[in-house]
Amino acid sequence: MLRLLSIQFILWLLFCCAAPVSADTGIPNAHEHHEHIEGVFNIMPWKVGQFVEYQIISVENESRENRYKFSLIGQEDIEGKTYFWIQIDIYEYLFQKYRKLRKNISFQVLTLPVTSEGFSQNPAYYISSGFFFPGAIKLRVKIYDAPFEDAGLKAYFSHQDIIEGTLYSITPEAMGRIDFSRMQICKVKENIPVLAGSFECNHIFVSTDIRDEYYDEGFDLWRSSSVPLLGIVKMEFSKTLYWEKWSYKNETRKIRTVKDFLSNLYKKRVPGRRRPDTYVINLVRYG
Amino acid sequence: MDKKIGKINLMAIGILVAFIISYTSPILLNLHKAFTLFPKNIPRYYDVYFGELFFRKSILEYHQFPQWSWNWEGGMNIFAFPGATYADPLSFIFLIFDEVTAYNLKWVLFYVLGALSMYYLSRFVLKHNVCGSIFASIVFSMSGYFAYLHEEGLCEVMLTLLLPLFFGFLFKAKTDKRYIIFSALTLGYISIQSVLFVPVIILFGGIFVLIDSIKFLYKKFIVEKAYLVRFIFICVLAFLFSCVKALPILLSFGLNVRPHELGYAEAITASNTFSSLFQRMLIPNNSGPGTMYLGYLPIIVSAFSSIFYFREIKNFILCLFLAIWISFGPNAFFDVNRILWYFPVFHEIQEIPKYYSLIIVFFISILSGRFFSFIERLKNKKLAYILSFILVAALFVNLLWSNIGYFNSFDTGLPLYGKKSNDNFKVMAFNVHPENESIAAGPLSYFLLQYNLGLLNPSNSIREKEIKAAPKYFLLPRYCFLSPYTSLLVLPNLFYKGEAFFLKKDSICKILKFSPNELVFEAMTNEPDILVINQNYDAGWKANFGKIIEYNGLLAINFDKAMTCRIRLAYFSTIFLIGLMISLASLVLAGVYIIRFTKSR
Repeated sequence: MLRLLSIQFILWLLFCCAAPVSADTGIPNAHEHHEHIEGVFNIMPWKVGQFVEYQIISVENESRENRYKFSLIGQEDIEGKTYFWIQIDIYEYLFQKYRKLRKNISFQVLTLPVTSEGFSQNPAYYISSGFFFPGAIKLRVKIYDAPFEDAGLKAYFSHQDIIEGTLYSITPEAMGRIDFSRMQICKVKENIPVLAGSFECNHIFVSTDIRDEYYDEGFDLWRSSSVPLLGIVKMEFSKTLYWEKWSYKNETRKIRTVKDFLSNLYKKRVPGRRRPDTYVINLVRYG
Repeated sequence: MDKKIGKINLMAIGILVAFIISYTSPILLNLHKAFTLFPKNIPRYYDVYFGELFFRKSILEYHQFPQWSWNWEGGMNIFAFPGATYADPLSFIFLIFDEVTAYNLKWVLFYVLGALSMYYLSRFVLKHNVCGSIFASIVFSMSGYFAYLHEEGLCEVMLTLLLPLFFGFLFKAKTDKRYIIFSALTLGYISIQSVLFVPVIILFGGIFVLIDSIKFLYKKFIVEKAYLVRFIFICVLAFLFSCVKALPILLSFGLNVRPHELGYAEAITASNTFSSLFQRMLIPNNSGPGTMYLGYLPIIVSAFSSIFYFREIKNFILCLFLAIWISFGPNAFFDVNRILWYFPVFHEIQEIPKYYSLIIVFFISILSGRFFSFIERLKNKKLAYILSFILVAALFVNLLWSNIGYFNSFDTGLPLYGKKSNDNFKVMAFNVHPENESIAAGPLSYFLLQYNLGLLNPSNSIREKEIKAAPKYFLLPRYCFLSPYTSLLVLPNLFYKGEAFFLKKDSICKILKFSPNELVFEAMTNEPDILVINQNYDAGWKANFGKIIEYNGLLAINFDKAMTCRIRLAYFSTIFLIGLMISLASLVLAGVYIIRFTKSR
């Protein structure tokens, strides 16, 4: 079956496996639900030279020095369609004695541009994929300072079994899922300050409920059509509310009798670190 | 009379063991399950499992006592890994049971040993009564301090449960020379795994000895040097006993003798304040550095004994005060920790309350045990016994209820092994966040080792050298593409040349054996060439053929002419041998001394 699919569709399938969200998995069309909110999914037309740079901060305020840059570096017309070369540069700040920003890995991807129409028809698909584009037809990879090397798209992304065979695959990091059918959009625009400045943003979100399973996560996305590429200004994700979920399930029990005491003695009562697990993506620069 | 006292002590010990076994019963009932506080919080300290799994694999699969770990940060002398317990005589447990079961068993054993060592100190050295000794033992062993750090996966703290034994021997060493050796042995044993706790233990041992040596006579302060000299001798002897582990570790620390990555801010993270100190001691099911739930009872009881027995226990009170003071870091009126931070090893300590809470719990245990001497003074003996019994029972039930919850977290049931790879390649994770526990180097290295794979990301701050070994695959979190997921993508390294390769294309190298201490290759080259092995260079490697050189930080063999041959590389750590010889020689000499000394008496 896979052989019959195009390279684009294989990549798209890969996303579906990694994240339980896709264009055709029964996720309601945001356009149908939020028709009355205009411009929420507007995309600034892509032009060579546009770029966006982000920081991604994890729990306990870590890794704020790391940088993620996405630039449109060229375009090609193939069979009447305009494709864009996106360069993705992933930088990591090295501590220890180095104390410098090192470019770890770079990708150059030839892909179809994301349009307002495409985004609004299936926002869940684009939000869950981010810049890991399903429409890519060519890929080049560069490690550290080495030159770019052509990589076969299909072969390059076909090694997931290396890690999926290990215990990592059952950790919450690997199992986290977002139920995009619960996606909502705020009717009012919000002013969001980030390192790149303040933006009037549309707020798209999936809220997390304490009654959800451990692996159900939420996200908050603030986007503005004045920011190039995908318009992402800020995103909070991996909003798991683990402690709250644990507390809801376990701390409501009361001990009234000796029997309660004994039966509860062997039940898990310690919730672990009471801290949020939320990640935050912030726009640092754009142009 | 002696027989009666012996029977009472035996009964007390039996009660203590029963208490601790019931306290640790969730661990015993879930022996095969790994600890985790919470599904999201798989502790980064899973590298303890990595070390023991590697030890187990090396001996059972390769029949080699491991000296070199090929899959730890691109290859490293395994003795330099602070968490590795290979020098621990109890390591044989890891050969009988898998690493998870063995660690659980070891923990239970040390909880019992902790209680017994406190009983020894309290009853036989400090001469508390039986109830007081049981009380002190329960406070120490069942405090939230060990349970929380156990659950956090900080297995280094396990051996510090022997702290009362060390102090017991240290007190006795003042009058009996044999105990110099016993206390040095205990300290040496603790330092095998609890590397970062040792300076704190030595600090407070030294403070106690110093206070004890200072006398106020004839309106003058006089320092009795004999006890201080003995203490210094104990430290030196402990170092000699533990040389087998201490020397390779010092070599690692040698790369990092001064503070660099860890700024002072990391050291004083979560420093105590009055409010946080009481929260850590009084709020059950708490978490965070310095957590040590004791409940109100031991604190009230030790406050009473501090008042009524001040003269007798003033040294302990002073030590407790100092421990609390240092744990306050910059929140105190004078930051003592700032001075300590400039000393070697101390600067590696992060989150100071994690270390000083141990000392606080220890001294509170001692002080609370003393309170029962006051009860003994009551004229109505029956009432005194009933009161003592009620206090002990109340303490046990409170600590059991509050702290057993930490052990009830063994519910993830992580499977131990799956399919194994025949390959020996390594992977490297880019842009993962150390605090994102499941994908931090500790757990990931363990997960990968189960499949015979290595991780190149550094798991601790000790190693300062840049890792030069190349990964076959990179792991990249999906969020790097601004996707709202944390799962990892596996991307092949297009520049990967193999675990062993020649620089010139026409030369061929085939790996015949890849084991911890021995690598065997079949090499064929038509011209002078260099065979590069994808492992960090170390002078401990010797080859049966050719000259071993360092090539871009990697292990390599220089071929100065064309040839076809089988090359065998063997690793032998000279520093380990020197350490082992010193440890063995000092142990033998200490044994001889004790036998001769005992005979002469």
